[in-house]
Amino acid sequence: MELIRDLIGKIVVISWMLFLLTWIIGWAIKGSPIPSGKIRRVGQGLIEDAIWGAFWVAIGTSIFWLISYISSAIGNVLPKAPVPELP
Amino acid sequence: MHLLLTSFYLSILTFYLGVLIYALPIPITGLKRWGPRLINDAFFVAILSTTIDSIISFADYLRHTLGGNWTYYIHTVRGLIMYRTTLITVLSILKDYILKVIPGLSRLLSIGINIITASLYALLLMYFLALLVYHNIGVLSSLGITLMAIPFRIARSAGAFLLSFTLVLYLALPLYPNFVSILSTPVSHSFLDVTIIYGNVVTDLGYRVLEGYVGLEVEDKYVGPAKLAPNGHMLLIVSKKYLEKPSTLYFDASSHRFYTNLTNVILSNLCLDRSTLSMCRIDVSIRGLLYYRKGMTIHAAPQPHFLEISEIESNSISFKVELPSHGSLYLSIVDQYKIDLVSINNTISIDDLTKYKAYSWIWYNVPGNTYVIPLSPGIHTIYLRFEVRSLEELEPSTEHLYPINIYELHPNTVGDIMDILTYTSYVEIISSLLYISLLMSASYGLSKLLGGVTKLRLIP
Repeated sequence: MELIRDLIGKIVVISWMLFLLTWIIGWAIKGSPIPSGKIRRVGQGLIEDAIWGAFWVAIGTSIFWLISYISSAIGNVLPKAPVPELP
Repeated sequence: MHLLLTSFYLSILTFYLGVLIYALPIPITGLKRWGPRLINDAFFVAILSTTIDSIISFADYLRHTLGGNWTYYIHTVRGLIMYRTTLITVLSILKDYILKVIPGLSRLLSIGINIITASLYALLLMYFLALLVYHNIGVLSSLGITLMAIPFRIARSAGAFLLSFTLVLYLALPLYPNFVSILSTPVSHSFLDVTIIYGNVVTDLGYRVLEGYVGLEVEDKYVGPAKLAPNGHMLLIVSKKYLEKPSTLYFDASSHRFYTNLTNVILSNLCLDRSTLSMCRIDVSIRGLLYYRKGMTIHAAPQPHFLEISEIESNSISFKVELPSHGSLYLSIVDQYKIDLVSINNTISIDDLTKYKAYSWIWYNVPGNTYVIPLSPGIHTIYLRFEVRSLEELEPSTEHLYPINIYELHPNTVGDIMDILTYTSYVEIISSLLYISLLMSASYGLSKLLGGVTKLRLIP
């Protein structure tokens, strides 16, 4: 459990850093003076992915909190099983 | 609980791994595709691990509705295992004795023992599966979810299978006795051709009839007497073709058959609720009946204009009745009743009814008498006090009644001796293996659904 928590923390930090790195690399490729559309498109893709990643990493904790909140809320309202009865 | 927490954390880890892959500056499509996939998995497993309690209680609910009961199931199977073991022991001893006298017969016996042994093994399998699932449902299902939660789908299908196996067995294993009963009492096609006639029963003077018996006469055939369900609901299961023939419904009480509003009619034209073909709702009003309680019927002729039942006690009844002309009050009671007093308008009191006795009858198996008391026209207040000698034998016994339960219809069609042998000796071997394999295929399907790659996508 501690191991997993530790891993989560490390991975969050690494992904923030990677986001910055990817974003920078992406802009560097996109802005580089190489007249080739293909390479520029790679840079564009990197930027988009990085922004998606940043979005998910920012929203992640809230989503998991929401999931556990909703499921604990619906956990209590299930009806008690009825006793079968003839018409 | 610890396992579930672990799986929740593992799903968060999976999520951030997905994010990490999203953010990797390596533009390889195969690698990048893992990003959304991992995020999807993480959400799915997180939802699963937080709602597994609700899922299990939903399975409980479903099983309860379908009629399964764990305690009953475990007791039944345990009892069957004990019975088989005893039987095998006894038969083996018997075989050893017979071997010395008639060797041929002991060969036959050993075949029987083999069959019973196979059935014992099948039952033991069912029993241990039941114990495993019933006592470890929490551990097994959360272990399954934890396996599913390991990042990069390493043990996803294994976990999904474990989870669905546990859930399916937890839900459906106690339904095994029902399954066996379906196998051993084959429902022939004629059972599908039945119609349930149901409805309320009232007297034509407007009183609800809360107990009693009804019977349907179709072309010389009498279907009945069928006991009214509690609260006076009529419930009659008849063949569907009877609805298309002219038939007459009677109220069958104290050896008298009272006409109702359904006399020589074709019932299918009168069904009130036409939503389903196999249900027919008809409300019935009984002609001439004033009052019925267990084995005691009061009616009057000619048809009274007015009736007011003022008081009903456990040993007395008083009512007001208006006759249009000279007529009689008919009192039909089974022998368990003893009438203490009949008083009319507080002026005439009769404490000995013997001189009013008109005729005796036997109502299926219950003997009784009918007393006829003459009445003049006008309103009469009648008070009746009686004793009940015994609460038994007031009404016809069960073997005379028409069955209300669908499984009790035509039990003699199974008849054939070979069929009976097959059912008793082979059903248990075949049915347990058949049932387990059915459950296995169900859990395989569920695990495909849970652990499948293409299904259940939350984000593109």
